[in-house]
Amino acid sequence: MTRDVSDTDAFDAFYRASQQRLYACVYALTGNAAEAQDVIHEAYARAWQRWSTVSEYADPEAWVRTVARRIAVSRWRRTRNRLVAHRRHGPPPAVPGPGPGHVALVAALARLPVEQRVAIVLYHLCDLSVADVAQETGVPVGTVKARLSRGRRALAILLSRSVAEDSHVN
Amino acid sequence: MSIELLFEELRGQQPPAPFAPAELVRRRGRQRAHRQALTASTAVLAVAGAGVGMLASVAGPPEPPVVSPPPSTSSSAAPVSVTPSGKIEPTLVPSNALLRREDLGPGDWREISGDAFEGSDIWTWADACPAYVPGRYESLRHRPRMATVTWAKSNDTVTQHVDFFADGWGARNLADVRSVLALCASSTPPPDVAPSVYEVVDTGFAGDDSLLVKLSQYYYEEETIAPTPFVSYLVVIRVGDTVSTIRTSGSEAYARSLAERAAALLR
Repeated sequence: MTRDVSDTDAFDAFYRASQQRLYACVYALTGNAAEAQDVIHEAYARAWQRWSTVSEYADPEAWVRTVARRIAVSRWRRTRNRLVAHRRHGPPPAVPGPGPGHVALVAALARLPVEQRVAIVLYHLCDLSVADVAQETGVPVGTVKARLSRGRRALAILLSRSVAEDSHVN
Repeated sequence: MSIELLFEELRGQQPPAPFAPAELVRRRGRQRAHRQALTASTAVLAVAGAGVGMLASVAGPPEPPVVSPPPSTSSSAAPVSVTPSGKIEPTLVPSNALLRREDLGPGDWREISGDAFEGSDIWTWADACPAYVPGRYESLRHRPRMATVTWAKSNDTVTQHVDFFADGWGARNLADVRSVLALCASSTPPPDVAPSVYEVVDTGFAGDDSLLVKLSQYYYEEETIAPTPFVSYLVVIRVGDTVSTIRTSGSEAYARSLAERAAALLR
């Protein structure tokens, strides 16, 4: 896997320019900051493996995002089956510094069915249009809209419950 | 705080540790390629050693997931309403078919506008459960006119779609709705998908035909499904070839009252 300097420079610039955007998307998808960071490192590593091809795409970031999303969903599914074992080791470490609204949003996203969560994250955090979400997830535009509609409705309820619970605590 | 503002806040969230330097990511890519090549070589040797002449099926490193390059993505988050080519371009139905503020009962109801996800080119029952198959429901190809409205107060919402169908296709649409409900009732969601349970509570109580459906939408609390689902009601009322579908987070009695109002508006 020999690369010339221009390949390396182009990849490094691409990585630095897009990593924060991709992190926000994957973090919202997984609800776990450390997991999200590892997922995107893995996705970029795969991009470097085939950089000569990926770099020729009109939007290499879309390729990395798709790979990262698939890794995240795959790990999420496996993790759900292992969570009982994981809980013996206590909860995952808290993400440092997030605001209460942010925590509530990530927790609410984690409660959505994965298809709704993916649609919401791609649309609201990855800045894809409805048509692009449809393209990227391989479902019709109407299906994406239905997922966004249902997901946003459920999010609104979950967030309002979260606020109500906070006010009870306070 | 609105959901949009919360997403904006999340967008700037920093990771718990600095991102790995690019060099480390590239090294991880090289190591990954090396491991894959090694795995493939071992597999080839194992097969060859066993004297099985099926090298073709294992030769070559496992590929990363096949991802076709998506088209260039929009940098704009603005909602878009897309009508795929070949689909009937919807036009507005008469506004008097839609529920008005005074139809909703007491409360500070406000109309929610500009929500693309309640747009006119969707069907309430699309993607109702994982077994749903897009494109299967013929009546949707005979729906030249439609309209939608969403009302909200505090935590309550009322969403209405009114669809006008070509001659005879209104009744067929109700059959399609029943077909979706039957499909969802008979299918089991994948293990990682919290179920949405649709229960037909009543039929034939308004208009020429009608359905009252209770929707229990379950969700995950950590690793288990929460015992108390979100409950909402959907009513479908057909008058001739016009079908009005209303979803409310209110009670069953409230859903029935909305159905009566909607049927009266369609007469």
